Amino acid sequence: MSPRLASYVPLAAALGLTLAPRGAVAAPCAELPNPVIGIGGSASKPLLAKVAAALHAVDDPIDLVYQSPGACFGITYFVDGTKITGTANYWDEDGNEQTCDLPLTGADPDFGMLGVKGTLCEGVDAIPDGIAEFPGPITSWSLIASNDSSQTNISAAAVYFIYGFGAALGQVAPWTVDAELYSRNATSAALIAIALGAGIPPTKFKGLDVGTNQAMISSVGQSLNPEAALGFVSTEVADLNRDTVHTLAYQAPDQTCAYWPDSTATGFDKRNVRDGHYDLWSPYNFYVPVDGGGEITNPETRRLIGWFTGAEPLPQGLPLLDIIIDNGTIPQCAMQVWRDEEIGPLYSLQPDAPCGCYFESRAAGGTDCQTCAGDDDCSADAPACRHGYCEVI
Amino acid sequence: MPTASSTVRAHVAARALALAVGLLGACSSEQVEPPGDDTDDPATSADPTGPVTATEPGTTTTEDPTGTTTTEGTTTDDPPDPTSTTGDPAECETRDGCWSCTPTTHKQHLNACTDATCEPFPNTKDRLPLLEEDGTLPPLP
Repeated sequence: MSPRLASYVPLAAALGLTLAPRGAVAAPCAELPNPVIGIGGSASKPLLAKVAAALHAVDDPIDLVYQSPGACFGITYFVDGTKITGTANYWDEDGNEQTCDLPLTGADPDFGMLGVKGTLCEGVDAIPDGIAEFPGPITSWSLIASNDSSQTNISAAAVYFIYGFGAALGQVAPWTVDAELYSRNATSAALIAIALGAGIPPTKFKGLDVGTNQAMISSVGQSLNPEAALGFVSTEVADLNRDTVHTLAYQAPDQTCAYWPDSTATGFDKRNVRDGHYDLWSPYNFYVPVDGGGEITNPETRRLIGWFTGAEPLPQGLPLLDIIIDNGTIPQCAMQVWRDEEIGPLYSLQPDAPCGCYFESRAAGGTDCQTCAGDDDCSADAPACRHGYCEVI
Repeated sequence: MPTASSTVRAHVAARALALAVGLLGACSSEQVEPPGDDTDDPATSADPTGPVTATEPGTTTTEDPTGTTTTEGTTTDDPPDPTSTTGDPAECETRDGCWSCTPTTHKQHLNACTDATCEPFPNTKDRLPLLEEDGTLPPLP
């Protein structure tokens, strides 16, 4: 672990992020029937919690265990070859979060999960041999303001001044109060993505490190100076907290207008992420040990990651597409654009089996697409009946 | 293979350059775009008299200094053929500054015509006082 990254560990522990032993009050994680242990950021935790609950219903259930000290820890443990210690979370069949103790001698993580590419993390020169990257569902990143703020949009250039210079020095009204500029540390996927979007080196990003997505919501949403308060979280976390914060429309470099992740400020269709109008998005990436042939070595991890990537057929009882959509994340089949670099150039994407119509119907509560029971119900311009809707291919 | 830090630095530098170039376009009220330079930039070529932002379907206006104008879509009274794939800016850029043909570049994707709601953020010296006089970004402290 790089010295700078290691310096974040005490902070994570102080924030209750389960890196350090906190007494023998929890059951050992190793005593769970079939544990698969992951580590990474807090942004993906709500998704994993929903998946973990559903995994109790499949044949040969998996107990998904997750520790969330920060996104970059999802790759650095593989780079350093160290073991994870302290406590972690798992979920029962009702989705209730539980805590378990990792072995005192540490455990090898079965997978890491990051909202950005691992090579963007400090101290990670390259993904180690024997570790493979598998892109998963897509998340977007939201710059957020309090619902008591009148601000509705922001640009990459404004972010450059606010977070690159600091609120007071940056002089972008009304975000000019340093005490109201909320941030994370450089292990945060959200910070890395937003920094890339604005052209700021992640280690030069200003603001008060609040530690987690949820603390960011509290800091911005309950600010006593709401007009000046600014922060950022994954969009699914922002969506879950629309009663206290709102996502600002974002105008990327080279863009002439600022867009929300959704087609309106109040929608849930993520259309602007899916078609390239909202620039701040990334796939979650899984980092997993593989053998020389590129196959995931742990068979249980292979099942779990394979369900996300499509390499393994979904078992009965795991409605993964619905879980991904309901979480506010986007399955790859609903994307119309893609990128090969983090916050890099966009290009058109035609998924192998598009699901944009189904995504809109489930996420936004409706779609203009034609319903169908089979391909015969569809017209030539959208000939494939998939998930009950006529898709383009 | 480049190191992570050099990769990040290169990426950040590229984004900063793109951002600066974007600002040159967006702040074209203070800029004179060289003829033929970056002609697929709707922001700089949509209206030679200055920046244009849409206010409602079918209409345009000069930039709203408050930055709070909301637009429902970026259609025009006479939109170009959306099936065109020639990529000719004269054919594909609407007066509102959106790209009406099939997008093939990053900038065209970002500015593709849509009926989604958007609000232009004015990247002007009034709003961003630390912008350089030429509209570029100063180095970070």
